[in-house]
Amino acid sequence: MNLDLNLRVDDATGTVVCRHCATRIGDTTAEPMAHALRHARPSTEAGPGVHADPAAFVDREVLLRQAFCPGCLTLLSTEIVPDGEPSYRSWSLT
Amino acid sequence: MAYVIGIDTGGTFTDAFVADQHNRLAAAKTPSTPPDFAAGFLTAIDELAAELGIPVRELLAGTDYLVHGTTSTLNALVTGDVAQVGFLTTRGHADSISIMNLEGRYAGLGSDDIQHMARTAKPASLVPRHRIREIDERVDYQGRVVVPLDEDGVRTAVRGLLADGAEAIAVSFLWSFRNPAHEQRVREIVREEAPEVYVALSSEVSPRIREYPRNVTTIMNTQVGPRLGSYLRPLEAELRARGLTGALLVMQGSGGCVTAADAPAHAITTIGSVLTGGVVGCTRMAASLGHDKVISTDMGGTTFLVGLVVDGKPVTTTSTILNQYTISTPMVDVHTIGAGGGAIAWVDPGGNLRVGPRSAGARPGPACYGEGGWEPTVTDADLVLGIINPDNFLGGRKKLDVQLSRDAIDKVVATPLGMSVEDAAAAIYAIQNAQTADLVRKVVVNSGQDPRDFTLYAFGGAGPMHCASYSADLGVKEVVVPLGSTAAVFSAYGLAASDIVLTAEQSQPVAMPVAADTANEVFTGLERELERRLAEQGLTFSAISYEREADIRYTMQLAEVATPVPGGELTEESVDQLGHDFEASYEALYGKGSGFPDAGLQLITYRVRATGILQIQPELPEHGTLSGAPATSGERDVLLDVRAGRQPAAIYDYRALGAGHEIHGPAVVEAPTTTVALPPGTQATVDRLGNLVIRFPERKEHS
Amino acid sequence: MAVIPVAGSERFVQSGAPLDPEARFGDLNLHRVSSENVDALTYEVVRHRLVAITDDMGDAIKRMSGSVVVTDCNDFGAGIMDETGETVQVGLYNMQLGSALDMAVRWTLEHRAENPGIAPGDQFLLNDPWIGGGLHQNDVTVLAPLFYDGQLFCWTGAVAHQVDLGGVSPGSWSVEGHDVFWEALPIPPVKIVEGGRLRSDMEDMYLRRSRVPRLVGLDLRAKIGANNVAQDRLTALIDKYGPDTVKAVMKKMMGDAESQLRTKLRALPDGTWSAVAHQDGARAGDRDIHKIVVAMSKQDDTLTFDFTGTDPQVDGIINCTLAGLRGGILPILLTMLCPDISWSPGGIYRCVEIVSEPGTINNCTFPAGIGKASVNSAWSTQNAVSETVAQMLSTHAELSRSAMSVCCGTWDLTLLAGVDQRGGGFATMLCDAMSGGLGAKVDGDGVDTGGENCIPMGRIADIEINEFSFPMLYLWRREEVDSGGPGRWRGGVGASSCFIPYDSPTRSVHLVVSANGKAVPQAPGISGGYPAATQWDVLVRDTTVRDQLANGRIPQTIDDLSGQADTLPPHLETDLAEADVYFTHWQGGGGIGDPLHREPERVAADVRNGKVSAVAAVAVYGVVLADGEPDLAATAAQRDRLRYERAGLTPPEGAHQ
Repeated sequence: MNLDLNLRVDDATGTVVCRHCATRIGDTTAEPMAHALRHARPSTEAGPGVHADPAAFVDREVLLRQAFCPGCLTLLSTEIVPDGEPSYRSWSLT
Repeated sequence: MAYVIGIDTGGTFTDAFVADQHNRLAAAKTPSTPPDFAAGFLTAIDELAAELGIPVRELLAGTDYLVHGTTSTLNALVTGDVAQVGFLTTRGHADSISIMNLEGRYAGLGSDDIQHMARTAKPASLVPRHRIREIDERVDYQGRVVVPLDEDGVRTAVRGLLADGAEAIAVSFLWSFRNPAHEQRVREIVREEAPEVYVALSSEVSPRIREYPRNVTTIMNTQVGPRLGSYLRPLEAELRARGLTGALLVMQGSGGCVTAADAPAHAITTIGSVLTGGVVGCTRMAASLGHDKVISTDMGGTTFLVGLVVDGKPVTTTSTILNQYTISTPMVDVHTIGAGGGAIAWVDPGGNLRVGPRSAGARPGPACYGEGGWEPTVTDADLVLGIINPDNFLGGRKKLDVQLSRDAIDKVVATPLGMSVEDAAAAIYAIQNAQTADLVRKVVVNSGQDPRDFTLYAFGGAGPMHCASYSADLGVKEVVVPLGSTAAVFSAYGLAASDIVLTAEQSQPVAMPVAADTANEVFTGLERELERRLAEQGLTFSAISYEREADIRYTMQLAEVATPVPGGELTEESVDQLGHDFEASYEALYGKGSGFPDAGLQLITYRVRATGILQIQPELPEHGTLSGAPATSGERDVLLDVRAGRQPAAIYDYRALGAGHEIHGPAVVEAPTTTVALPPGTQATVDRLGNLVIRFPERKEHS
Repeated sequence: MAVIPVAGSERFVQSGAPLDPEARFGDLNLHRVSSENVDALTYEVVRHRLVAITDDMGDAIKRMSGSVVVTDCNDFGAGIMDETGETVQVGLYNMQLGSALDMAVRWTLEHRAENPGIAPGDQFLLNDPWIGGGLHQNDVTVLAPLFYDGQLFCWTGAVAHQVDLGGVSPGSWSVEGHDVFWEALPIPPVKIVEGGRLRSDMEDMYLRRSRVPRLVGLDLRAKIGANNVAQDRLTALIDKYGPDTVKAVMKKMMGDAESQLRTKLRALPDGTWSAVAHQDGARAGDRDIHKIVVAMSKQDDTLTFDFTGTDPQVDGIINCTLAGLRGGILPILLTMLCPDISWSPGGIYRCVEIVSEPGTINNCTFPAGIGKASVNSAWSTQNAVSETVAQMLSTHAELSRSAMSVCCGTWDLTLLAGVDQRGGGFATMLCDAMSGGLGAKVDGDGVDTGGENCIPMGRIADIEINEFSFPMLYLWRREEVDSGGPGRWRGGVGASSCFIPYDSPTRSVHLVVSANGKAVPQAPGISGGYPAATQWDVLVRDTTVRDQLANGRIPQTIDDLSGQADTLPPHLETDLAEADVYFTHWQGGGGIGDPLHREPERVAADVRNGKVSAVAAVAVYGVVLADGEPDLAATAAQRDRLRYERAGLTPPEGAHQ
């Protein structure tokens, strides 16, 4: 079963793998992104779409946080969030 | 001999009609010949001459004028076979035609499509980005120049566009309808650079407030203007070569025509050309029958069209949607409300029976055509119910297979719902009719009218099978099914019977009361312009009339109400009266007490419509009387009313009916082009023009 | 100052749960049926007519309203509710405003049946979002009970955004506000029409609070008119088919919507999808970031939206009540899960459970400030819900076609007030921001300037209409480069407007600005797609714009204006003076998938068409252009480089250089 543009469940093993390179990213659908590479940078590095430095508006730092396939480095998730906040963006199948 | 000819070139058929000044009539119907529509046009004239038994040259030499309804403009826009346009607009505003006021994502779509938001999209760009140039210039809301025109910039832009392959140039600046000087100067510069290039100015094509539709209208006009010219010029030359000495006129969407020479400059006005012949014909018939309020319904195989005639005139609109773009041009208001006989019946995921809005179209068409359609349509239900005679569809020209209809209804509707095929067909028939009543009612009510005041005319191959039922639901007074000898070419008759109608408008928004001097100045200016354009048509009119109106609204409302304005010199009192007239029209539209004068009024647009009455006014032919009672051609079991079920119904051959004959439902009348269903409780009379007039003598009035 | 609880306000709370079907209200006789049984033919005929009646209501409101917020933005709703308020059908308008009509009817039944009574010809007005109806006080609802044969048969309701109902700031969005007492005060249901007659005392009480009473008075008539239209049509329908049949159809419409949605849910995998939505600044001067957290669980045929973890309600104007929270859920359910299902919220809500703690920013208690609830916490709720539903749909080949990434992250408020060019007072919301970008789809880009998720048919006014109506002159209105979230499929771009005050006798215009998403973008992408651009509003003081115009030049960038450019905070109230220029840039939609997977030709076309900058093409999409066409070798190298760089890795030896 495909999970989105990048991920699928391997029907034989129940693991979550990359659709582009078949690298295993999660051992089960309960923790689908367990092996993803994660990296965070200041949100201003997200490109010209971030118009002004967040420091102009808020006291907290704002980060661009991304997760990647460890095999082909396909970008699996992107979020811009305040520094120090746990990642609320997650999903799991039951 | 003096003749008038109407030629209506549709996508499939070219209809032709001719009358002389003694009302001798002839008609012809030939296949259209896309993409070279002129060939079918000329064939139709040959056939008219043959019908009259005279040589073509004699017919054309004696023709005063020939009125042409053409699908050319619409066809060009729909297929995208248009001139490559370069677009000049005010700096900072090129994106108006891509933002499309955002309404372009859904304009013209049905609610089923709009609900599926992720699947809605804007249409392809009108003009590719590289053919749009922004110009430094600016006029304000009062017409004052804020930024002078950058003439050097215009020259550079024009040269760039021409080098880039632009064949024609559209110019639309902000507020140009208040001060057209900048646009006019641009035209001069284009003429200096390239004298032959077609140029259209928004201040001439559509001098109305709201830049988005004005941009669209100007661009589309520029796209089709050169093409319309290159269609009409050789056609007119060919007609001259064949002996035509009179005028070649082109029908506009407004319901009146212009000369072929004048048409390309105002090409966008011909966008509804092919739709309006029928409405004009309907208007003439209404006049002749003494009906002043008519709902015209045209239910064909693939579409269901609705138009209105009120006080003897077609109801018009000031804008229309094509390909999700909004166009500002006055036209007869023809609404497409459904899929006609091709509407598909289906069962939704909740197990409910639905009809439409999807259509089986012309291909594959209903299942009974045997051309691969597997989904049941309204036509299939009509066939199963016995309303359609499978051997006599379109006068026997198309054989229908009842079994295919039964199979389709069984598989898609009856079996899933646990119904018999008969019951399923009856339900499809009844649902289609009730929905039609809902949708027609919406059109009537939104124009501020009450359907109970109307007579309904039912055109189209499928309409007469359903009209008695949806008309009863609507509560109209009576139903007319046009069946006389010209019924098959009714729109061509409408063309031949039309007038010259020219419209001029001018936005000059202002809070009411407007100064009488200002209003007088604008109206006389518009009338002078129309007088000049009427004279340029080179025709003799038996009479000329001008009608004025002003679009007025309560401050900040979205929509204006077109309010009639008396002719002659306006005074402060008559301007006040105009405000009261608006409020009266407003309350008539939206209900008593809905007006709110405290909000203040604004006058937005002035408009004048000039009508030049042409000298030949062909009348519809009288239908012969036949002695004795109407003779039936047989009897079969038909379901005409879902409550009554299948019952024996008398079958009549229309050709054996004479004026004055009266028939009572349940009955079916088979005519060469259609079938008329007369449910139990209806009474139908053949009138003096051969129409079948249906009434409901047993009707209980609903509130 | 913290929000202090108000004793006595408890009564004005509606839970959102349906009423006991056997409950009695005063001596009202409710028309009830026990069966949904109706034959296929009658069902479809009556159903179609009920939908047509809802349409008629919308047409009536739109055509009679005098407010651009209604006529252009479609910021209104219309619905038919059954005898106890369950919503049978809502129109295709602002779906947020169809989300809490049920709550308003229930409260009215519970609290008005005995005193002053509910009788034929009555209509009730309310704008109390704790009770229901609208989402903030500007959303005014008019409810009309329909009686047939002496029984209360059903209700119709019309709700629309009113431009101003008082409060500290023009437009009633008081950016300095701490709690509801700074804002327009809520009105619980009052009998505005009694026995068919508009009560002038109630009307005066209502209009007296507004800075634009004429406009609000016109809209009041529009809503009453819409209810009248619906009541006439419903009565004729009941005359023809009988009350039991019509009511059975109403019940079955809700039952069908429920069962179809449940069937669809069963086709999707069970699981939990979580998301978060941020708002920077709860009021002028606030520099905090406020979050809404949602975990959506799908189990068999039920959806549970659990908002545990959402921040407590704040001192400011961004909170929303339960009505707002529901308004954040319903538009997503309708557009993404029910595009092919009847829009019958009464049935759809039965498939949904909500877990939320009162006292949080999207379920706040009185007297928390809610002046901007609709476009703040309600809209943010919608963003978070949108993300979870789209992620869930991504697992299904067919159903994912109805999903979009998050659309335009919020409403970019520009409120103008002052003296217009005709010398009259005015207050208006500039509605240009309605043309936000839509989120990307699993198989295509989001629609550029395609609108807002909760309003399927918004529109914006022509510039000429705005310039005729208000003392302003535009320098531009245009789609904005790089405003759509990058991705394999790009989010739709948003746009910007830039204008100067023009022709006001006071030579200035009062300006209220309120929009979040300036520090944290609000339209995230999914499946790796980037969020849409941040919101960006700039006020440039003391420019040379008038000299430039007189000299034949129309400035086209902020730098061209050569004044002092202030990037504005999320909330601000100020004046635009004659030499000042205001630039407002609203949001696009989020992207879907990895931007390095986007075909280079599409990126090149985006650059040609001004949707993506050359800078972003290289830096985000890894596409190198030469003469406007992609250089494929250089693109491959750049993409390799970016793949490592963005993951914080060093490219291995031998990789493309």
